[in-house]
Amino acid sequence: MILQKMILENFRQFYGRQELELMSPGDPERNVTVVYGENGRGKTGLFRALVFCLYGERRLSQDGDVPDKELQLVNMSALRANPGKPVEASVELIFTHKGGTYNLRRAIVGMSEGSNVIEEIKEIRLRLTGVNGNTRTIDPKDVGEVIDRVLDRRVKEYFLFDGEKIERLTRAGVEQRREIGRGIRNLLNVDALENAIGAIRRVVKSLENDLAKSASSEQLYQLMQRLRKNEEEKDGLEKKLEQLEEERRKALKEIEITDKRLDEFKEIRHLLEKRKAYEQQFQTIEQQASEAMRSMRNMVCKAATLIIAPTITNVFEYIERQKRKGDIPSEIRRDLIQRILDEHRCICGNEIIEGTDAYKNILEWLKRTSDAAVQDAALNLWRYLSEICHHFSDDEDLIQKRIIEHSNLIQAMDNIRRELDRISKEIGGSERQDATELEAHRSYLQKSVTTIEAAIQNSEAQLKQLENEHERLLALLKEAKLKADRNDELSRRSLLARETLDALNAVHLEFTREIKNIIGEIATKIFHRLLDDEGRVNLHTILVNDDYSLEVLDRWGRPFLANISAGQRQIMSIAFIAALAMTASRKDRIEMPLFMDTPFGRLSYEHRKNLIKEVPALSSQWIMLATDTEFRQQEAQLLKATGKWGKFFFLRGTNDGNTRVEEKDINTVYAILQSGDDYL
Amino acid sequence: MKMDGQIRVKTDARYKELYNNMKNNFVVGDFHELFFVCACIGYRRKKRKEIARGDDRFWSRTITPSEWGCYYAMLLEDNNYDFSMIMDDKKVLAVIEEYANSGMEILIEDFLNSYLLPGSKEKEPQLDPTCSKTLPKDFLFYILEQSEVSS
Repeated sequence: MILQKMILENFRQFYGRQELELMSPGDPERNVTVVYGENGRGKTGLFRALVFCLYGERRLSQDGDVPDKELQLVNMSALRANPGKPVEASVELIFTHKGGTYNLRRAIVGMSEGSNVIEEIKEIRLRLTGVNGNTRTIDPKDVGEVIDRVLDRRVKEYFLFDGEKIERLTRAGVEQRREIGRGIRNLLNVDALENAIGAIRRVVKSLENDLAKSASSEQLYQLMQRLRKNEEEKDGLEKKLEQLEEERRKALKEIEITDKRLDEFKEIRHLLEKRKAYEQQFQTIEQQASEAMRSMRNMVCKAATLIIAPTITNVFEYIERQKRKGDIPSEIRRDLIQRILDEHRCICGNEIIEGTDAYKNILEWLKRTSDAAVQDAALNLWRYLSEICHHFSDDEDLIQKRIIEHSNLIQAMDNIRRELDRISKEIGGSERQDATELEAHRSYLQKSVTTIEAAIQNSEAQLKQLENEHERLLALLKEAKLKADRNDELSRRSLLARETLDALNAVHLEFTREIKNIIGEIATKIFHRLLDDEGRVNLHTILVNDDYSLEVLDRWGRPFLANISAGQRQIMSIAFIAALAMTASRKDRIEMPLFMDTPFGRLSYEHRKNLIKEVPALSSQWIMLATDTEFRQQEAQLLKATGKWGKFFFLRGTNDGNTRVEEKDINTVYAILQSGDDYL
Repeated sequence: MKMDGQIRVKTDARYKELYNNMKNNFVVGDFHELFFVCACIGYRRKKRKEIARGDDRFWSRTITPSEWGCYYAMLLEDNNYDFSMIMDDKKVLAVIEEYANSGMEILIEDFLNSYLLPGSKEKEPQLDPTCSKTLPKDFLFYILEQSEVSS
């Protein structure tokens, strides 16, 4: 596959129609194209355009959790120029593959509604011009299949990738590896073999069913039944094993997440302790405040008494004066005075005569006395008021003290609350569980993993037994079929089908083992060519695992993948891609374009140098989307020296926020870069 | 002046809910306390108001001797220290009820207004259930302020 031309129309930053002729006509040797632009100018937009055109996919793996509505494909200026009207955006790709020329165009229509933009895929069109020059239009519903035959979508990220993210392939999860594995088997045409195995397995089953139904020999019938039961058990066990593996994977993933959270806890442990201390302090103060509030409630009447303090004082002083004067209680009781007046005789025995001074004095006494009930009441009141009056000052002080105390407690609570908020923010919110709970959770997960692993071991042992039993039954069946007098034809066909199946399985096993070894060997060679001196010494062999994940061994043959740098991972992934593509095409170079976004971001100069030197020779086409920090005069010099540099495009920002693609002559660009001019 | 405990003390019926609210929100311990506060406020401002629609609020047996002492003192001061005016507790409380009635109006106007359910003030004042938890403290502070004003 060689990408010849890309035509963009109102796609992302590219307003209007813009073309990129990616290969110089008639000069296939100059197979390197550089697309140069600052961040935000649309390099990834071009990458997105390619993936969109080929597969109709809006999202790239690097988009992560970005919502779909933020991944708008139709150019904003075009939408603004046509408010409320549909605007078409399209990507057209012209590429050659195995002698044919493909013209693929995919369009999307967008319309702005207020602040929202609604987008809908409009059409897809693929025209294929064969070697003989005849052109035919592919039925839209078949386009996906045709494109997948050129470059399987499941492996697209091996060829069209973000340089900084490619190393993720070495860290792919189980599901991703399984999907990639299927894509790779397709690329290597292994899936054709697997399909054949599936088909022959169904034939075997059908024939053996027939044979079981018509088996005249009891022994043959019994054998068939046992074989079928054995295979059912095997299938069930294999499914169970898959489930157990999945459970194990999930539990391990959960452990990984839990460990990360526990690590975070380590960082915040002192904060958690501080928070706990504050919370306890808060509780104590809250309790004190509550006590203070209760105590204040009990002071309401005392406080109210202060309102009428002058009255109480006045009355108290009045009674006090009366007491001092002796009016309360009266020195002589009213009833005694009344008796003296009535009897006209004093208690000393002298006669009291009306109109005398003595009589007048006694009358005065009578006026000053009051009755006993009133006097008792006055005295009682005096006692109560005396009690109240003597406490005015203390009560007032106490009330003020309580109010201040309570206010201080509330202030202290506010301060602690603020401090708690600050710590909680620093800790990262309430969603974090307590570290103890997490540790318990981790321990539970670890136990689950142990249980699952024991179950896996057990199932694998059972499976091994069933496989042995299966082989033994097959041998017995073969013998029994050969001995059978009747159903000769059916027995022979069944036997032949079974032998075919066994042979295909053996071929599959051998082929995949061999192919993985070949890929590993080629990848190792390329890896060494791309690595710097130090890497060559330390990193010895690339191994392709059964699930097509990668491992690298150090010079002592120990797994070393976990220790290599992101740059080395990137180099390793590129070596693997090259090896895979070469094995698939059985050629010594990659028959696919390598479309790399930010290829040098993580690479040292030595790695960059090796990549620039080797990739143009390894690949049929190399399109690199680079920033000014990636493609400097050194890189330009190295690339020019390969003699493979054919095209240069500059992504220029326009005043309206769009991007204009400008093709530049490579010699001019080279001269500018060498002169250090910032014209670009 | 026997501190008779068998008298039903009245307030205006429209303050029934407010009395309940103040007790239930722990602003006061019991009805007689709020009544006392109101009586003190009313007396200090020298404002008495007849109860329009009397409603038995509590038994006089809950009134403490100190409160009785204050009530008697109010009446004595009011009546030129004529002790005969305080000999009949029923009559004493009848006067104090009028001071408390007026005192409650002042309390609502000056202080409780912002703690009431919107629109309830004119008819049957009620505390807003969401009112500040510091109401008991604010209430005490308000009472203390009244004593400072009066002194």
